[in-house]
Amino acid sequence: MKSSAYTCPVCGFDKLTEPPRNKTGGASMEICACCGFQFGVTDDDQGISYDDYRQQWIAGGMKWTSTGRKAPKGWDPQTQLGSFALRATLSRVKGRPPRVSYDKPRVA
Amino acid sequence: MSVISQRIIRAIAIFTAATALHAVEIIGEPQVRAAADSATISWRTDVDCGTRVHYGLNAAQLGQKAEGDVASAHEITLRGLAPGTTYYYRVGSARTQLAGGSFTTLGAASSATPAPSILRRVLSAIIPGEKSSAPAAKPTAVTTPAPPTRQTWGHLDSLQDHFDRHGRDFRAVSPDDYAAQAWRFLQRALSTDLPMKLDETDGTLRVFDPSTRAFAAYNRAGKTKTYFKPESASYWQRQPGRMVKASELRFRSR
Repeated sequence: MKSSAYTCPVCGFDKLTEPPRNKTGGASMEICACCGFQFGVTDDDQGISYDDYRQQWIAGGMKWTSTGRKAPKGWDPQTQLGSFALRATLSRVKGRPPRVSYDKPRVA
Repeated sequence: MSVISQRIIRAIAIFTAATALHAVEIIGEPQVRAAADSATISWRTDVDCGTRVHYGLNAAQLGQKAEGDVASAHEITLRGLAPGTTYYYRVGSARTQLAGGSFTTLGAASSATPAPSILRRVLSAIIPGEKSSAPAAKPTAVTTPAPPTRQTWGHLDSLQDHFDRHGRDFRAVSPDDYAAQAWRFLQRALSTDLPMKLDETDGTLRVFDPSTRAFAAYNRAGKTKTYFKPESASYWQRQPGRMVKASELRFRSR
């Protein structure tokens, strides 16, 4: 049976079993196996934002937090986070990305 | 061969034949008297047989055992137990296991009840109102044996993480104990007036006990998503969903 996976908005781990929030804003209560953020608890109860938690996780060495689940083979937190940041950036760009033009140096 | 040797061989032959031809049966159910650091389990069998109890914190893995004499009235005391802890056990002899159940040592909770028989479990499944546990003098002190964890916890591979994080809120001694407590919390909510909110979007049921500040979320099948004690005073008020009663839910109390 194929199961759909969802991406953690904190660390970019793309194997969450449920969306972190449903349509009415209800939290999944899932603990991200990668960064350890628990949706509905870390944020709603402890008041820690995604950005703040991400900074803490990065400052702590981006370690795999789950003791019950192993990290995927070849898991690299830097690649995961970089890919997640790129996707987040691209998702903000509507339509075709703007062209970057440089002024040509004038020839005397 | 001497007369004494012949008598010994004859006695062994009679004992072997008797035990081989007659399957030992338990009379009634085991009785447990739990203290803070010990528990005495007693039961009766229709014929003399050995006395052995396997016990442990995990119902699926009873790693400890205690043994007694050959008898039909069996009694054995388990010592060195942790206070306020739920233990699972099976009684029998070296050859066979006759019955099992669980008990909780005194401390945080004090209760003892044997596991329901198969017949009673079937009855409880098909007859509304049929209780699955054995009759007890004080229902509030009875610890209902929880089903296997795989039947009560939503995503089994996440259980260890939830236990690591929240198990101490309930003094849970193992992931299975933590899952069992979460299941019992739902049973209590379904049979009492604990506030419950149903999120119709994904079928999540959220339950809160204002007196203990215990909170749990269950999926639409009644399996646990998490169980913990929130720190925030307004946590329950901020949870989404509409207030519901047990009669409106698809799953019922066991």
